[in-house]
Amino acid sequence: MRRQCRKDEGRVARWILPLVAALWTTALPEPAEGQLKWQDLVFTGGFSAEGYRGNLPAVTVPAVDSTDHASAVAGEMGARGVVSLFTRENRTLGLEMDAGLRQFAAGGFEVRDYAPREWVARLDLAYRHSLTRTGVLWIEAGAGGRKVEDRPPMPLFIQPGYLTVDGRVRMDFYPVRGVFFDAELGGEAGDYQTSVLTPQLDLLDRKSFGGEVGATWGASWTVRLHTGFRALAYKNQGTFDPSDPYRRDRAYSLGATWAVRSSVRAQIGVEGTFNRSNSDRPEYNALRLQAVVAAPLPGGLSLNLFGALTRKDYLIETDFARLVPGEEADNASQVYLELARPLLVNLDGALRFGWTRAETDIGESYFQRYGASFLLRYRPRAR
Amino acid sequence: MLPLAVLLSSLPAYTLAQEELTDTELESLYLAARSEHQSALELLAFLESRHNRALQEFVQARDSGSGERRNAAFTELQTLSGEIRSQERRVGELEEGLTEARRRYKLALRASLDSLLAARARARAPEDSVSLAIRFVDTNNRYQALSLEEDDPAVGAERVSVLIRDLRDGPEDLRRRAAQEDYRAEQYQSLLQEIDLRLGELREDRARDRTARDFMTGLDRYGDTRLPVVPPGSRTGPERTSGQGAPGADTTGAGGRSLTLEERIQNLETQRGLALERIGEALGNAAQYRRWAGGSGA
Repeated sequence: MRRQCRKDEGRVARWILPLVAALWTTALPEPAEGQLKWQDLVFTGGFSAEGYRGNLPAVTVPAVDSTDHASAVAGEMGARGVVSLFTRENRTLGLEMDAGLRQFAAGGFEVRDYAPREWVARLDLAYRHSLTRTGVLWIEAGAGGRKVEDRPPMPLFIQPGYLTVDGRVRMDFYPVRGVFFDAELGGEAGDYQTSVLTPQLDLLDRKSFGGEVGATWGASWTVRLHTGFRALAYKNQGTFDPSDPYRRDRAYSLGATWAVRSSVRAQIGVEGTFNRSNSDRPEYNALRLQAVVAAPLPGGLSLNLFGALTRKDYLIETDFARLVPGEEADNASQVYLELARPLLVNLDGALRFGWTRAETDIGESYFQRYGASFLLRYRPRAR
Repeated sequence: MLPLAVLLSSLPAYTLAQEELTDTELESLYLAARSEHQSALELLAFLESRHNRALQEFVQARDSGSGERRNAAFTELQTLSGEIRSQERRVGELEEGLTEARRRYKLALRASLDSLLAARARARAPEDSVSLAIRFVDTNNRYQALSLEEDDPAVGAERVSVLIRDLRDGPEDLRRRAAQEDYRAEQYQSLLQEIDLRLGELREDRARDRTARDFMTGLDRYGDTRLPVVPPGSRTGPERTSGQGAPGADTTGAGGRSLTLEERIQNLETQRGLALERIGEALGNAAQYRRWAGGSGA
């Protein structure tokens, strides 16, 4: 078991991070013959001050602390690049790379202070083929990973380290009576990084496969209706049923999104999810409202807003803690607001405020996170 | 394509004006006009290149003091200047023809789109409906491509006249030429303003896209929007529609192979550079003509 834990621990760092670094290095020289072409390249740096309240029962963190309040300052740096690998008459191939490092200095705990550090990286490859009579075909594949050192106890929740690979095939059909139909099939596998103290993170390992179909109409604004199905298999979670021992979920979703794209970009969506399982515990119905707005303000400022509200109702009442962070639980609200402004031709400054409230179904337990960040975004290729 | 262009251009004008041409025929006319215009531009560039070499030869001949060589070079220069002026006129005429061919083709496509929509509304059989939808999309793609081609301002075929001093030109002739160059510079200045305006709009559009994308990728990078209470890996950002935002995506959202936002910006930046070059050349020529005319050159 320990040998397996140690093996998993280094997997993300050994594969994903060096792969991203190698691609950065090889892609950075000036593209030749107009084939490789940078569409965007941005370096980010900044710092944050954050506060955390509440104490969700969390079985996947390596330490337990009795405090209800914690605070942290954090510095971060990252880079993101979008490269067009080739462009033909009807085909394009693009690569997006994203990587970052965030270092916390956290205090307010009873036992000791913590200095968690996150390394993250992600690669996405997208191939587009415009078919003459049918529509536009997208084939996308991605891999991402994160590694966390000195992960603190609650209430400072930081996602654990994991490695994910995913792929999808999507078809955006040409319009029929002014309606654009789309269909997507995709799958994902997630492998969580365990340690000697947190072998239970293996509970979150999963594989999923699903599809979605949608219909969009409108011109100056659009409405999209969609429905989907997703099958999930948790190979390390048991059901206590010898005839069907491992947890398998089936999630059905139905939703609508309204979007406008002018000087203001806005997207407001609602989605209902019905999660059924061969295990009673995680069966629930959920409703999620989400809004993303980007609007220009006077003085060169731009406002960005992200808000989400989730409501869940479990089908079966239970006295046991059902929460495994990163898995499923009850109600949650999130608001992120950012004011950004160009400082130089290739340098933007941004001030971001965030607030999160997540609540479990266990005796009013909740978790809150609030903070402010100052970020600089540098685009070396911008003129 | 060129023989077709020659054939079409040899048709009597009234025939084309009065006949009801099909979309395919109008497309052929438009492609022929475009091809012919491009050929004329290339020939003009060739003549300009030859003229530049002849001008160098003339300067060297003058400096060498050889009257015979200077006269030969001058004759060559005169011949090429005449050919360039003639070719410029031809390019201008072909440009007008191209604009007209594009306009007619666009009108026809617009009419086809309307009739396809009407036919779709009347269609009963599903297979008819699908067939009409496919034709609608093809036609719409062509229409959008034409619109993009003419929407962004571009430096046209008209070239700045090459600097040449005819020994028979008096001060008045030279001042008139200087005034012509000033006028050309003003025209390019006006085009430059138009290009700058369009570039500004497109760059603003790109900046908005980037700011919104920076915001969401910043939230997603460390999983901050992935709560302790939702499935990991679930997408929290705005939904991607029709490939929007994917690396390599066509940011104009138009179907077919239309220009992306980035490509339009790059194209306009190239046009801007050309316009600036032409302004500099025209102003430089005007100053030189004035110096030759005995003015200050300012």
